[in-house]
Amino acid sequence: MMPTFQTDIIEARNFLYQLLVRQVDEKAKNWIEQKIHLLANSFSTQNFYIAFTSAPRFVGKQNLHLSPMEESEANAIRKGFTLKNWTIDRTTRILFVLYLPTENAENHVSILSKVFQTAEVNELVALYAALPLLPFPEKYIYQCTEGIRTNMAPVFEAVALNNPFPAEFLDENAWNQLFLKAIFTGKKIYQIQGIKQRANATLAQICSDFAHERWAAGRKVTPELWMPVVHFINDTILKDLEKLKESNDILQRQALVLVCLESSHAQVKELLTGMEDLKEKALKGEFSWESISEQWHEANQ
Amino acid sequence: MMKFIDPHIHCVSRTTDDYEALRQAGVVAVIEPAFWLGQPRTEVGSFKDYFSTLIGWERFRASQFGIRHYCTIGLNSKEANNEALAEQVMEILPLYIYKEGVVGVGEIGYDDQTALEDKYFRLQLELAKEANLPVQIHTPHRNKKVGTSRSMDVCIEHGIAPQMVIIDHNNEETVKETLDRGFWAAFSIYPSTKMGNERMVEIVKKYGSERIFINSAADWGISDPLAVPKTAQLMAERGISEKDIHLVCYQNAYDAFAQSGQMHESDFIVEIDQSQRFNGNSVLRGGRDPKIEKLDSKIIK
Repeated sequence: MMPTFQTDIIEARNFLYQLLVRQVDEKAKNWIEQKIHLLANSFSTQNFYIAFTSAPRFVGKQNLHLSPMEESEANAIRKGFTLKNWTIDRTTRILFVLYLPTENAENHVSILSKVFQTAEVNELVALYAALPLLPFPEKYIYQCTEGIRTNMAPVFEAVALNNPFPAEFLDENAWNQLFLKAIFTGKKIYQIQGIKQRANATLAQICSDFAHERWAAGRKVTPELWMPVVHFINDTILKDLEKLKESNDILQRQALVLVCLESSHAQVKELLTGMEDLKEKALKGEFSWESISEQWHEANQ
Repeated sequence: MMKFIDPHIHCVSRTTDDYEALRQAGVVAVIEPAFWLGQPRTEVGSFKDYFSTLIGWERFRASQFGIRHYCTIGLNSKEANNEALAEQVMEILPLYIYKEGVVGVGEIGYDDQTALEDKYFRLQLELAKEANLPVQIHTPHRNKKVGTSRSMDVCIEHGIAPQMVIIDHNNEETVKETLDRGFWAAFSIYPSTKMGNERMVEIVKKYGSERIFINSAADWGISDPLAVPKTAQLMAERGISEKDIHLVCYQNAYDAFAQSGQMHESDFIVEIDQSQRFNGNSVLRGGRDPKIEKLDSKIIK
């Protein structure tokens, strides 16, 4: 049985509201207040729809700024919840989503599905970014997989990156699809939440197959690909890792060292022989999956 | 390099080669009016998905090439003749016309000039008035002069200011009345059936550049997406001033549609840099060289 709520909705509303009023001008603040008053006291689908759609014209589209304290507050409100790269209009739209009535799952889904179906690009980004705050999460799993199927890069990023929902609710097949699509479309993989927890033998094999396909075509393989293989080493993957050791690319060797350090597999541990300097640096935190990812994307844009 | 706006082009029917060529030729923004698809739709769902494509996938597709994509939303005159379907389409229009980047109600007007066309034209004028959006009017191919006059009469009758109305597909026979009555006069440079660009040069010589602008109306038929830049080049060669070319190929279209409050010059990507990424995707994927259509054949007959 899945939970009905992922967060205390009142608390989440207050948090978003405080972030907004700190940053918007008086006119925008009044507009937001007027709308939430309307939604709280006389909710109608029509009122919600107009508020949601027209938000950018009244509040603007500037970036939302967060202090480190507010970032940890976000995480306290909902584990893994982050407002990284959010804008004012997106935050406002999601605040309005939190005013949907929650007495009845069918009603909630029916209103929001209609919005999903007729949404433009920025609205889709807001809707998918809202997934971790929605009540009745099991009702939105299919919608989440639809978001993974999208071809619109910003929409895919809203589902897959900096979002705790997929790792918590997707089945293995859908999760693996998310991971591989993120690799395939060149996303920064460390921004996917829950990679370690959701790693599995099937995904490890898919990653190995993917590398072989790329190598056969004479193409590069991002070192981020090896993040989920740590606990699922087989003979093929062991050979793949040996190959990384021979790589001229320092990032590939760094990735190998991180895999070796996390793994308890004896033959994988042995691969560290002759890589003591990198091991040293890894232990000192001089590189990480994040730094590997950032540098890889910098070099391979 | 001059920059251009093509304020009428059906991008859903065009290839990525066209997008590359448009950007290379200096087109920084396009407007895609909702139209028919070459054959009649039979279900309201087809309209819904088409409108969603205009504000979603097509907007993203254009952004990959550094082009800002806007659209106008409406029930076209041909399909207004299916009354049962038209009623359902009218019901979903309000879901779309308030969306971000929707710069008008269009393209609407007359085709056969039937009673049903008249009915839905008027209903949509009311919708535009309520939303305070410009109206993009398709004038008929047959019985054009009468149809054009009538379109303007009906706009006035509904209390819509001429400066909020773009009369499209003008020709030598309709331009004078359109301008005299204070409407925007748009011309589609479309081979064989609409305007040729040598004729267009003569029109600008005769009527000047006030409230006149051009578009390609490129669609699924034999048409030329580069009609705007090609015509600009021809105008320059035939002695029309740079200032007038700028008005006819950029500024007037901008001024007309920016009245929607949904189009902002500051959103255009003006610097062209082949290595630049738009919306996270490289324009030149897989290391391909850009395919650039040459402007050597610039006469459109």
